[in-house]
Amino acid sequence: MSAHVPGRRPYGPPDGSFPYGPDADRFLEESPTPGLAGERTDLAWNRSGLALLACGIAVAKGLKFPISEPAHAVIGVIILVLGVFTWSMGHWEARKRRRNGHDREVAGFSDLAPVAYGTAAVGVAAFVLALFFPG
Amino acid sequence: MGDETADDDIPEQLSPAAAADDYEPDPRFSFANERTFLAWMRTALGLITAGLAITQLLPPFDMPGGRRLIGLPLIAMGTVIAVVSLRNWTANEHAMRRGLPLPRSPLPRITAVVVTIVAVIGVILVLVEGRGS
Repeated sequence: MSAHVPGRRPYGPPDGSFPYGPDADRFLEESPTPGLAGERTDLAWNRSGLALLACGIAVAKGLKFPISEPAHAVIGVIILVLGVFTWSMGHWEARKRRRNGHDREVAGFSDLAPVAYGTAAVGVAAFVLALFFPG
Repeated sequence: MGDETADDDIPEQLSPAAAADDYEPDPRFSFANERTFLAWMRTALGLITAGLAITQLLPPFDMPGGRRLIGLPLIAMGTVIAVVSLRNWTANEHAMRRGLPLPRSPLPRITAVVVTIVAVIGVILVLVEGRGS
């Protein structure tokens, strides 16, 4: 097993075998680093943040629902903040990975949960809005 | 869900070392899991935005509540996806760390069914448009 990151156990079970098939050792030696998987993941974070930003701008500027005039700006800005948060999260994860030896660093539950629950909250708000205040 | 592999002791918070007998999976698989989660989040957001645009920006159909009939299911689906995809990510990570088969998710099928039904309703609404007047 090569390329062990200090502070993290090498991947694979403790007995040194690798669980994904009999050719696993050869497989690992041929591709000892995650390669571009981290970069693809960074780009996925980037797209997700941009999608939220686009949604926030659409809500802040595009919708004409008859609550008060500043209300949709407030909702739009909340979604925009969520977008900035998501984008920054991806950027931060990417920087962490680019540092030497951290190219195996993957996101944990606490990184993903705010994005999931934030999007769910936007969905609930959109549902209430669409149900009671159709444009 | 309903799968033996998706056993019900999935931890609420999956820390880097969730249990003593867990091991680090190949990071590429964790990255792929993360990207899949993010792709579901964008799908959720797309459905919510589409539903909002339908109910808020489209001119009303002849049938009362027609816009909400197609917009609300999309928004509800997006909200469900946002929560369930986080659960799926946790279940996949859990399975990889235990060397278990990946659990099957009902989410792709449910999404396909809901979007298909909404599309059919949309086609019907457009076809009956103008018939009454």
